Amino acid sequence: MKNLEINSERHGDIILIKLKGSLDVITATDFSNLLKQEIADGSRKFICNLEKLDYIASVGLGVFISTNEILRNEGGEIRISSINNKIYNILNILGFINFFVVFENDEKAIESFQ
Amino acid sequence: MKKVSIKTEYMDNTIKMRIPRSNQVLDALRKKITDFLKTKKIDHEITSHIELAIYETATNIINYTSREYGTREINMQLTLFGEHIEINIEDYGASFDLTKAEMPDIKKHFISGERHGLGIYIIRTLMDEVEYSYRNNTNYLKLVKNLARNS
Repeated sequence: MKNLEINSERHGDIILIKLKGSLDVITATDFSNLLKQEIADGSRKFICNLEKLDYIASVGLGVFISTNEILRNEGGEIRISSINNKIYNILNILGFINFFVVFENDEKAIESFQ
Repeated sequence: MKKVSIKTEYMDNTIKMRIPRSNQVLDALRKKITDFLKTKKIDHEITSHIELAIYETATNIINYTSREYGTREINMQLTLFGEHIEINIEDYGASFDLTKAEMPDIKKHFISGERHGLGIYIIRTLMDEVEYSYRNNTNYLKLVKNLARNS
């Protein structure tokens, strides 16, 4: 059973993606495919709202890392908004948090691209 | 797809599981571990570290060995001691010593956009002790997490 809800909305040339549930071995492919499709359609600026993400496995982190590499080479990026305490603590203790640009809410993240 | 499930036994401060080598059970595995630790009133942050380390360990075993050893279950036992939690994992198969595997340089990993290879780093970073041995064609992995918050 897949435990990830992905909702995306467009704000100009920015794609705001809200993840709810678990980004893991089963669900990471759907997330990756969404990003690939949007990139193929020309999008380069992404915001991922992680407020309701309750779990992230290494495979999910891998999607962020590999996609960000592609986007940064083309003047884009995935930025993070509304990261909850659980996910923040994990990324922080692993030393990963410094590699993400994080904003406290969607509005600030959107502004950062403008 | 054939439905598979984890056989579970509970004893005092221990949960014992026999885990099929299938990604289908990973979500259930996480839930069993977190529910068990919740009943033992373990700190949320420590629970999240154990949850992730166990998930990554099981994922690695399943995804690298299922083809050859698909019918053999993974045995996992988590025991709560006074000051620490011990997780013992046994899996039949070729030897893989994750205590000796190369740890990625995280900065280079992010810069290069490398998608794989973080599981071992996560396990060894989140756990306070990681011990490995191999005998009778079986990998024995022991993970220890101290219960004091700043470990």
